[in-house]
Amino acid sequence: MMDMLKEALQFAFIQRALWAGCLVAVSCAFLGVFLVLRRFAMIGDGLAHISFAAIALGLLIKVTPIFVAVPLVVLAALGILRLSDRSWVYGDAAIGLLSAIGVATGVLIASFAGGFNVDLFSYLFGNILSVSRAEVALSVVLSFIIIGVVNLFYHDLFAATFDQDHAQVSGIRTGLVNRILLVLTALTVVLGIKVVGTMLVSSLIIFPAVSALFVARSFRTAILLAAVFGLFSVVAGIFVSYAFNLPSGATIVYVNFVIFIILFILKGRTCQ
Amino acid sequence: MQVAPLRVENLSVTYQGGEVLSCINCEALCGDYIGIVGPNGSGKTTLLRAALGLLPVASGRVLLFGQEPASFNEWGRVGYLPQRLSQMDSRFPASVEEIVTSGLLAARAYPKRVNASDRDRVAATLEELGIGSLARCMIGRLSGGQQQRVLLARALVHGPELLFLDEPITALDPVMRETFYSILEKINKERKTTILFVSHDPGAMGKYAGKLLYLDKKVMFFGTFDEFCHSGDMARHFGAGQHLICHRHG
Repeated sequence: MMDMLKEALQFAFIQRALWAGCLVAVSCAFLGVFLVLRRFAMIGDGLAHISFAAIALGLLIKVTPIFVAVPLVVLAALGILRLSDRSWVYGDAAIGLLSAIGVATGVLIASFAGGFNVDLFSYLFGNILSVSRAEVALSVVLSFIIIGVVNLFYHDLFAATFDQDHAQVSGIRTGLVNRILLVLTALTVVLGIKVVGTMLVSSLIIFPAVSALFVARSFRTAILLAAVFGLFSVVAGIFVSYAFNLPSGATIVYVNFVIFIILFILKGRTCQ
Repeated sequence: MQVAPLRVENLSVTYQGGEVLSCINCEALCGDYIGIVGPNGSGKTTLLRAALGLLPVASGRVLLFGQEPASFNEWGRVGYLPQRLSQMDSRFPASVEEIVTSGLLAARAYPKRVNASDRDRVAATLEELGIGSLARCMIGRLSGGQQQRVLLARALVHGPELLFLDEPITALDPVMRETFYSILEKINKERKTTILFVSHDPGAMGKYAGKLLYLDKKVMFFGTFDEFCHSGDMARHFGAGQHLICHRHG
């Protein structure tokens, strides 16, 4: 087993996968705790569907899809916030509407381009083992931005998550904090696409956070545990998928599911 | 001349087309302790939320230390204990210490960092409210009364000059209520903190507060309890109940 791990680590593509995957896992976990507690968990899923259209567009115009996805998904995130903030549409309905439009647009573009191809499939379900050097570099930059901004606004994000009204009358610009949270989420979703794919990226946001919430006794612990669970799922997922020749994205999701089940059972026992 | 911590001028608030507050005028001076009472649906909470800029006003204006809430930027001078304790997420993974610290850091400049004196201040506030031993506990594991004290600690920890309390004693037992009132009395007298206290219990307000704002969608009475006690208008409105509210006759 150890020999196989050592062998895997010698491959540049595994090293790149681990770098990109770990950074994305930490970003997702940090934001996931805030999003789950604010009942915004599904926004990751919605934005991932929108990124599907952006990726199809990137493939059509032959621009690295992730570079097309970043601005479009950020705009969509702000659009969802505006729709729900102005009470024009319920928040979850706004996510559903934009998700459907995203997938429909992606399918139309793919059809216009002559049908689905292998590239688009790898974006749908992720292929972390095919991460390029440029994508690793982008992951590093964006992840450090996400982690840095969360760190800078940590106390504001915490206050607004616990009690939005109180945060507002304490002098926190909650509108700005909400926009920051969603822009960071949009960036994280785009980063996560290569790791687990558009169909599964929300799992990296939701699973580690929900698992952490089972056991955390403080907010800081919740964030740290979510990061640990996210990191473990990516590292274990990559090695297991390498060892058994399984799809890496789906394997990462299953590692997360196993962590969730174990903690769910343990929590059930401590409650009895 | 010192600017009044709160001034409400001709304030009207509407909700779904209906007027829930009509032409409200009142002022809280430095060191005032005002009990806001009235029947259910009389607009007590609405007045507090409008005063804090959490609700849009239909007409009139609110001034916090001379500025309208939208342009007010000295929120460190204001403390707020909201009503909605029952809506608190019991699974929220926050410790008492984290919640109270959030009240201390909110109005700070970036980067907001917790230093040793902040930790001491949080600990001292928790001790003052008798919940020092709960600092590391998760908020969701506490009783209603303990949670209410945690939220009061969050409202007090930064030393506000103006304190808004929205039915803060509902989850407290009678002993804790007395403790709660005596803590407020102390900070009102010693620190000259201006207090606006929304309450369902006019009798208790008569015992502790200095002024009474009786609301029923409009201002029915605003003044001291002695003025209330001798008001002919209030005698006609409340009958014998007038002196149960004013609490001036044993």
